[in-house]
Amino acid sequence: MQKKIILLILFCFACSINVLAEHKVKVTVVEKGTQHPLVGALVSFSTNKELTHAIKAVTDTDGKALLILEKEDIAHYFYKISVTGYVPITDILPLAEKELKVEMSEDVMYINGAVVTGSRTERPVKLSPITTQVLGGKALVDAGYSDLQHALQQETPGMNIQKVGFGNEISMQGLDARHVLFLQDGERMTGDMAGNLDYERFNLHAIDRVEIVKGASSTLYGSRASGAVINLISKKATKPLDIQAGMRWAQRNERNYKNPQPKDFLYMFEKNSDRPNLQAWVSAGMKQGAFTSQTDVLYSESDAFYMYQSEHDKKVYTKEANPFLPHDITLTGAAERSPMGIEGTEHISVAQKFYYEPSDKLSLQVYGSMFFLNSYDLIQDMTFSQSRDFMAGMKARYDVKNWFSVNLSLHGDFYDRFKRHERIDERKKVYKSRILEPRLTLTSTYFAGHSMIFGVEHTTDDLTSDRFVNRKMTTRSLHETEYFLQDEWTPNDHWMLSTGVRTNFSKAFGFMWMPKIAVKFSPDNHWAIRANYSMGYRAPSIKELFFNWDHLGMFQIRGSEELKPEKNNYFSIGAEYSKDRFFINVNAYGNFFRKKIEGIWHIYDMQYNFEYINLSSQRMLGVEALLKWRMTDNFTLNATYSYVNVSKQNGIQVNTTSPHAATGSLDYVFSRPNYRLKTIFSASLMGEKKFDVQDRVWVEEHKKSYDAYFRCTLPAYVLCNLAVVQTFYNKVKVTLGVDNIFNHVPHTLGSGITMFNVPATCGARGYMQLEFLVDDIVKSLKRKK
Amino acid sequence: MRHFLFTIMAAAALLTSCVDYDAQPFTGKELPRTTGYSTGVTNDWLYINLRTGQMFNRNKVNEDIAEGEQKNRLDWDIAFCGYRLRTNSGTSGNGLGAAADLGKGQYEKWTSVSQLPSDLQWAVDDHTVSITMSRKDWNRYLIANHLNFEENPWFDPNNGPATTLTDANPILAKAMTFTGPPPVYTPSFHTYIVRTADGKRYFKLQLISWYKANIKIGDTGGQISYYCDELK
Repeated sequence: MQKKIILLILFCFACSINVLAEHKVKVTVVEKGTQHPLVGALVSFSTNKELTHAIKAVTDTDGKALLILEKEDIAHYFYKISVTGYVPITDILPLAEKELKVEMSEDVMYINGAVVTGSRTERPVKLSPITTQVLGGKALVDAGYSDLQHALQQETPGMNIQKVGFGNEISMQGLDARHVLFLQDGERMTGDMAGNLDYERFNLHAIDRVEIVKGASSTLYGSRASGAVINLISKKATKPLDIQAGMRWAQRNERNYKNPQPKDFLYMFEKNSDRPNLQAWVSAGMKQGAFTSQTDVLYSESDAFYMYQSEHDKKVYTKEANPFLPHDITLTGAAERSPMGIEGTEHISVAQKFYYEPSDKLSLQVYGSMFFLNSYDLIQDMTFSQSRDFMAGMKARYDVKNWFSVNLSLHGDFYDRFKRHERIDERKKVYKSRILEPRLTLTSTYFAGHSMIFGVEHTTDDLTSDRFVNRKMTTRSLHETEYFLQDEWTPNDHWMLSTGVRTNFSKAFGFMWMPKIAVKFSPDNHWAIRANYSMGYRAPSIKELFFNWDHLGMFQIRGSEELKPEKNNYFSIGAEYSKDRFFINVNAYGNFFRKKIEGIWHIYDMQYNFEYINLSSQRMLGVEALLKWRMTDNFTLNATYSYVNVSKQNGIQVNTTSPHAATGSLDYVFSRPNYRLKTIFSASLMGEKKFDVQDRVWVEEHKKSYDAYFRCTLPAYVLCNLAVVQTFYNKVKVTLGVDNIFNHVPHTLGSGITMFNVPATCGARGYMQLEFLVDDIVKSLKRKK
Repeated sequence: MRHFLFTIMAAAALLTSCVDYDAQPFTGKELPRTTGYSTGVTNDWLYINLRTGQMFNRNKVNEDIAEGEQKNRLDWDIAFCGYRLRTNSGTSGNGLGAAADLGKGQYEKWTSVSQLPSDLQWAVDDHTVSITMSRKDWNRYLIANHLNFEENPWFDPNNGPATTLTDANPILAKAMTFTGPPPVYTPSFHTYIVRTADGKRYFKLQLISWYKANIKIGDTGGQISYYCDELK
């Protein structure tokens, strides 16, 4: 008994020594201004400046974290607090302090976050060897954008998204959608038309950030990344429960039909063309221990409208583009210009992700999404278009000691398009597209200063369409196996060298290899100089290879199985300067294409034929600038500018890009406890466009017709938006705004096939948006009870 | 969470399945066949006697009335070729036919002749209306004018298929417009009044669609849907 008492006393003594050796620090993290608690902030305390062997904790729903530190013989602790979307704070805490309250500011310049696209591994945006433009998802929603297309066009210099007959047409740095690779969390999607996806499938409210890497990135992402990569990184819950919901109502674009009646022949068409402009969304995240779930749902509908041109079409055939002409010829259309219809849409997208991360070493993820789209064009052809897409996959990462990480992924995307009858309950499948992509990558930081990645991926691409063989649904496939290797070497604080190579093998095109090299030099913490060379390539698409479609006996669209992959050499050099409140990046580039695949009109067999061929070389030279300036705590200025010069071919400019494009926004923020006001005024400028369009002209003097080009000139325009966002108690957010506030309406739609190069707007339209932090509201109500 | 996911799935299923087919059956008329250039004949007209309901060239091109023969016949009142229309008047026929525009919509409003405005602008047929040439006729034109086939294709991507002028009614030429490519036929939804060949009776006419109501998906259309009723 005595022995037991002695043991108990010794145990209590030992415990008390242990308690005496502990140092507890209560940390409270709040947002600056509103003072609302920040949940999920990572708090790291260490005895050294480098924060190695740090003690970590995550703030709870009240923004509080408790750190139990060992008492050391030091004067103070070093700490760092970081949370997504806020400027991280690094400071010291005297040993005597037991409480710490930290106010964090929103990272309005987004230069502190991590990016993955440029390296395929996560690293801070400032340390990326490749210039990466980052658009925060929350900021895009705050700015009042209804969809990703509008957000990208307004925020990205030189990006142009236009409505065309089949949906949207994107262009960037003088390149079209075939050279711009859209990724969802690093994975490809299918279902494109001329390289353009159904951009409606991207739910703006499910996006954490958009990373834009311009220039060839084929080494990491393969074919189609020859012009740019736009990677949409989706949200992942960081709080135990995070449910947000919202809805948006916007003014109708145009009332096309008053009081449609069931007896109307076009009853369904009339109803669908005048749908309300409505959106509703739910974003639900949950994090419990090793398990994380993220669900995102969006429903959206919009009305269709017409764009008008009062004057008749005019075509100018210049002597410059057509040297055989005796003089410039101007032809004015005899008929009035028909209005151009912009379709309305109705769509729903649902995405679900599950993560299981039992330790730092192991991470598992499965994901799936579905998307349904009805497109209501203004063509009275008794049908409308339906699309559906199912995307699914899994990812696994396992760290083998500190040697390397094994990453395995399997990704599939399954897309179908239908024509649906407007009077009879039937539909017909017209397009089916599938991709399946298994990938294995090994990443390692084992060797000091080196970050290496080796990967192998196989892509199976199947396309079924009625446009290959005699209007019968026929499938054509492409299979590619690719290996890539990249090393990012950081020998010291100033230099970084990134080198990589990708090999590609396919039965159709044989063996190819693409190298890249990028250098970054940072003389100090503020400056960075980057230089980059990379080779891009784009394998011909299945359509470009196999299309064989007779358009009502009028013309043929023909692919060619003889097509070769197009290649490009991309060079860029840029400088970046960043300080607490100021960031500027200027980048000059040259992009040199060989064997570029283009569609051109040829006359043979007594008719016009639209054929894909490896045309010739094309050169693009450009400069881009990005500026972010937090002038005061309240005002932030963002500006971008893009200049591109695209080479002419024999005096002919077939590229429809404007040389000049710019965007800008001025944000004003006012905060006080439990209230936040944010006003965003943004402007997007598109310079004048001047390009030549292939046509045929009759020359009276020669009594003969010629293949000729007419010059199309489309005027410069500026679109401005205003959004006023008020947040109450960090639970309810109310946004009022006006798109195209200065009511710009294009007066020229362009002639003939050029009509797809004007902004699809019918003028100023207002909107209202409500967002709720559902879980916080429910919690507050429970507390009151 | 399970309930939440179920709700989402249900909503998605609802969107795809819930296309309401609640339109009432079409009570108007439709052409029995496609007419015009796609049949290989530029002037492929289908003639209708509105007074009796009789149709000429109902089943195939020129089976009853060949181009030119219509001029001296008074047993037809209106004719269709593609989206162009004739009345038995002017350069098309020796009848007393004509057409006038009563403005957009309001088809039901017009029930009797007495309602017609006194200052109605009647138009008789003339040779100013363009019509799409058939490929065969375009080739004949090239041969006749010694023009090169390879330099003068029938279809031009910027201007569409070749056209020529024909005898047709200029007011009714506005009843439907064509733009393309891609080919888009848009009715004006105006109500027109058509005077019969004998000059005694009046029919109101409204073109509704280039397509018939039960057209198969993918069909290029041409069997125009329309309303046509006599004013008492």
